[in-house]
This record gives sequence, structure tokens and C-alpha cells, in this order.
Amino acid sequence: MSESNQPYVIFTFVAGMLLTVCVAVLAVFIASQRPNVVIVPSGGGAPASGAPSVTGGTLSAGAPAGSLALEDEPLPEGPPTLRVAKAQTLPMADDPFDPRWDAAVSVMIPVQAQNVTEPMLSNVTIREVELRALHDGQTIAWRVAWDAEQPADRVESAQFSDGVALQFPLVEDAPFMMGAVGQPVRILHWKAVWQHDVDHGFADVQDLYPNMWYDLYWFTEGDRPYTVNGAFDDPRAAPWFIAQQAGNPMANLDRSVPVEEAVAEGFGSLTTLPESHARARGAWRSGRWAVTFFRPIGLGDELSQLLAPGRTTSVALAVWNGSDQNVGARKHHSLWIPVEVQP
Amino acid sequence: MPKRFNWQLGRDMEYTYDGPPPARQVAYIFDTNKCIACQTCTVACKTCWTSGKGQEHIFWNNVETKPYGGYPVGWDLKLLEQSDPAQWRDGKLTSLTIFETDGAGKPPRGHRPVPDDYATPNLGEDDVTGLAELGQYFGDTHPMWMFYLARICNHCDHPACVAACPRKAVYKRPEDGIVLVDQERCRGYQECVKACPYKKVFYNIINRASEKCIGCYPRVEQGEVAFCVETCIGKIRMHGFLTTDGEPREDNPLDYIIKVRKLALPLYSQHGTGPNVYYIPPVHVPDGFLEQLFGPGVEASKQLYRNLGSDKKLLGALLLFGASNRILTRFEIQGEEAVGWDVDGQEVARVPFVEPIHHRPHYDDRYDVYRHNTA
Repeated sequence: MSESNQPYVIFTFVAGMLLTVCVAVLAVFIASQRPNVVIVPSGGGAPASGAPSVTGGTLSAGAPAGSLALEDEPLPEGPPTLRVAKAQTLPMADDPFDPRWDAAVSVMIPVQAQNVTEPMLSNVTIREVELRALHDGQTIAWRVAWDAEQPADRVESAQFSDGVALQFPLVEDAPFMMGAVGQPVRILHWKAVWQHDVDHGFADVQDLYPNMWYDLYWFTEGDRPYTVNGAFDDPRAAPWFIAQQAGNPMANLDRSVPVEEAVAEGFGSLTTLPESHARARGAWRSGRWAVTFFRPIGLGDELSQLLAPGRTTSVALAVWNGSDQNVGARKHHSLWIPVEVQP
Repeated sequence: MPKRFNWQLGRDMEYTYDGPPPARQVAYIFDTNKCIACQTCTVACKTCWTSGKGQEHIFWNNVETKPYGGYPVGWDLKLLEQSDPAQWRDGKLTSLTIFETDGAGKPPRGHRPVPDDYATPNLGEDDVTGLAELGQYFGDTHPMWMFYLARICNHCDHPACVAACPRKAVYKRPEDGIVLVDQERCRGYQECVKACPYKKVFYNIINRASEKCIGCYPRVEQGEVAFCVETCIGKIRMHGFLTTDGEPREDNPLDYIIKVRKLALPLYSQHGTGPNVYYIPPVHVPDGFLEQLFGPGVEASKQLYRNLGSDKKLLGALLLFGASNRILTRFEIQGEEAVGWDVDGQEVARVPFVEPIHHRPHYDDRYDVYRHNTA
């Protein structure tokens, strides 16, 4: 740099600093003028009168939850704790809308678009989910509910499934987004297409296109349209179901539960465990999904130890709107919500 | 994002990953002037690889009629609509690739076909660019044109499917550059389907995972050409390897035709994926259309093709198309014959420049019959 340029550079530096200070002052002023935001539970899943309800959870990690608190109330210190009360009897496992859920504390959890890693979610269509949990000493039960105009539970090219996942940290400081290497998280993942499989049988080609079949499926039995469960039992037909042959958990043609248990240590590392101890059931009614997860407490594995009565831990949620092309990392998610499993 | 040199674009390019090139790169040459869209390649591929439930719409190989045909419908037009026109200056691409359009770190620019786009594999087949007017007759060249474009996975140098997969379930083999979807890890997010400019990854609704052309890798590992290449009755295809560990070899028929002579050109190279199916452009089709597909080398390629009669080595290389079911790694012109050797160094093809004439008499003494087809 030549010496003749130095005064100009100094002027530019000073002007830049002044501009930065002005912008900062303006930002503080604008922020102080913004009204508090009130989040009110909405939709058919709102807690029944008299049922306890907590609103909160903040979307800015590390920031106080004041902007999300009810007006005139003292500011809570961080997201509310979900207390998993002990119940004499749990709600029905196969009825997510069982009114007995109304007795459980309801926590409204704000969710936001996943915008940390690619591919990101560009469009927010779900703003909050309602979470409740109970246990009876034998089983811990969760219910997640959220608004969805229509269910997305069909398998097709360029179509995706509604879904929800509960995530638990296997080490104390695991990152809330899929954990990290050496900091694993456990995940219970329910998908609407799996629920459809369980409720109505595996979704075959004919469920979408009744009159479409290929002229030459190798080694089939029976007649057209050759149902996927039944006509392809000859082991020589197996090579054309290659993902199933490879043991891909997505290619489960005989699914008995609509949930998978998985472990992750960072983005892209989700791995389905061989066995799912959780049971789940999702139902869509009047513009709202409700999904229950039931899991035995006494299994002795890491997750059941984590969720044993008397323990405190955290849960984070992810929720997918299949109608809006939510899939994989294109999802809505929450931060960690403290969980206290009461004795 | 790392920068990688894209030789087809003549410049460095942003790409999600970096790494050394494969030991050799699988590549194909398709001579569009010889394709008659008999679909034997399509049937061979489908019968072998994609005849399962859930694969009804999956054509790893298809042959479509340009300009109007395409499978899935509008696979190329929909991306071109989202892209600025390709700009070339002195053989160098000055416009942006799909990896650069949306900025560093973003998924490749792409679109996801809808189910209806897979419903009509033959849409536009045999359609020409216009109707013949009443009273029109053939003079010397047809005023309308069309040509057949055979398509498979390009096993790209910089695959968009690999870049797009958030699970790293799509990978490029280091030994031969074949691009595969890990059927155990894929969770059917279809990000690869969206990213691939050629729409050669398909979602299987029964397996609920994405599937793509596997380059007939079990055959390649045995030194044999892909099914679509072996079964081509018009012998329009050559299957082999491009050299990646040094200068192109003049005795490697693919290096020679693609890199040394530049007779065969990549399809939609402006998208930046470095596709490895190389096309000899149809000589009867206007340059403007062809340059959108094959880049700025079209006119030079056409000249080479028209002059093949006096270009013995290049013609000899073309004579070896379809001459063997073995992959040719070396060729040579010996007198009036083109000779090819396979990966094991065995001579597997010897093709004369002029086929010998066999005269068969009208009356056959041996069988005491008259022939009626020997006029």
C-alpha cells in the first residue's frame, strides 16, 4: 500500500466504526420497543379445563425465555420442565386421543425450521407441538400432538411422510441436533407411512395405481397384479428387492410397529437399532395428529435407565410435515426440554 | 467448499467434496447417428436389473427422441428453466454450474419430478420438429429433424447425487468411478433424485430407497461391457475407461475419441457434474440446439465425423464399437483392420475396414437349391 493512500484508509476505518456503533444503538432501540410475544395453546388438543399446562421453551439457545412468557408473570429461567407424573393407569396405548391424557401436564414446545445443516427447511408450517408424558412404574408413555391440515401417509416419488421423533441425550451435554461424535443421542421415530402400513397393510404399488404392473416380474407366484406380500416368496425373486436384501430398515415389507429406535452421533449418522422396544400409535383426527410412544422402563438399557423414575434428563423433538416436502433434515425441531420423571 | 478442476468446463469449480480421481474412470461413447431407438438396451437393462415390484417406472437406460421427448418428462428442460443460459468463452464455461448457482455450501440446484412425469416413458417418441406441409417433397435435406438420445447414468466426475445426499449414502468407487447408492444406508430422502441433472436416480416405492444405474459393475469387474452396450444391435456404444493418472493415451479408444480427437462430447456439461457418457452429435441437427446439449465443440465434432473416410485411425476406433463383449483398453490399426485388446491383454476384436464380399451362386450344388436373394 502506498503512503498516499493512508489518510483515505484511516477515514474509511473511522467512518466504518461510527456506522457500526449507530447500527448497534438502533438495533437495541428497536428491540426494546418490541412487544412480548404470547404463545397460546391452540387447536383440538388444547388441555381440558383444569389440566395443568405450561407454555414455553425458547428458540434462542442460551437466551432467557422472557419473550415467550405470559405477560405479567415472572420470567421463567429457561424452558419449562416436563414433569412425568406417575399414574395408576396409563392411557390406552392404541388410542392417542384417549381423554385420560388430559390429566397429564401439557407442555407447548415451540419448534423451528432446521437451518443448521444442509439440506435445510425453508418453510415453517408447524410452530409448536404439544407434549405430555406419564408413567406407571412399568412403562413410560409420551404423547405428541400438533396441527396438520391433512395427513401425509402415502409412499410415492416426491411425496413424503408426516412424522415425529423424540430424542434423548445418552451423555449429559450431547448437542440437541442429532448429538455429535462421542456424544450419542437415542431417538424414537414414528412415521405416518409406517402407521399406514401397520393399519392397512404394506402399501403396495396397487394402493397408488391399481392397474399398473410390469409384464415381467421374475419368479412370481399367482396372478396379476402380483401383491408384494405373497407373490414374491420364491427366493429367486429376492434380488429385485435389493434394499430389503441389504437389510435396509426402510425396506421392511412386514412392518409390525410404526416406530423405530435409532441412535445418532451427528448429522447424517442416524442408525436404526435392530430392535425397537417402543410401541407407538399415531392417529389423525380433525386437523390434528396425536402420536403416542410407550416404552418399558425396566429394560435395563441406556434409554430406560435414563428415563427411570426419579431421574432427570432432557428431550428434544423433531416433526415433519410431509405435505410440505419435509423429509430427513428438512424438518422442524425444538431445543432440549428438561424432563423430570417423578418417582 | 473445495475447488476442483472440471476439465470439461476448462476451469475450477466449487464442489462439496474433494478427493483424488478414481484409478480409472468408467466412460461410454454413444454414436447418436447410428441409434434407431429399438430400445433393446432399455429392455436388456430393465429385464436384468429393474424388473422388481416398485421398479415399474425405473429405467436406468432409456432412449428418448429429441427435441420433444424425455423421461421423466422435461427432465432437462426444467433445470434449464432454472438456470442462466450456458456461456462459453474459448472453450471455458463462464456461467455458473448447479453447485455454484445457490452459493457455496448449498445443495446443487435441481428439481424433483412429480409422479406424472414418470407415467409416459415414450412421450414425444419419433416426433419431429414440425409438420410436413401439403405438397412438400424431399429435396436434399429434411427441413424437420429429430434424433434419438440414449441415456444412462453418467457416473459423473463430480456427481450431484453424491453432493446432495445428507447421509453420504451415495458414493463413487475409487477403482473405476462407478457411482452407487448404498442400499443399506439410503433412507429414501430423494435428495439425490432432486439433484441429479439427468434424473437417473429413481425412488423405489416398495424398497423405499433410491436406486440408480449400477454401471453393470459385476460385469465390469469381470472385464465385460454393460448389458446396454453388449445388446446394442446398432453397435452405437463403446464402454471402457478414461485414463485418470496421466495424459490421455492414444491407444485407449475412449481417451482417443473423447479427449484426443474430441469427437464425442459430454451431455449438458454446463451443469458441472462432469458426465462420462460422451455423445457423437447427430450431424443433421442444427448447431444451436446441439450446443445447448453438447457444448461448444459441436461443429468441430461434426466436421470430424463427416471426414471419417479420410481419418483412418478415428474411423478404426469407431469400427470397434460393439465388436466385443469385452471392455477394450487398447486398440491399434493393423493394415486394413482395427484391433482391440481387453483388460487382460487378450486380443478380442479384429474388424476389417471393408467387409469381405462373399459371392454365393444362384444355384447351390450342395443343397441342390436355387437362391433367390443373391441378385
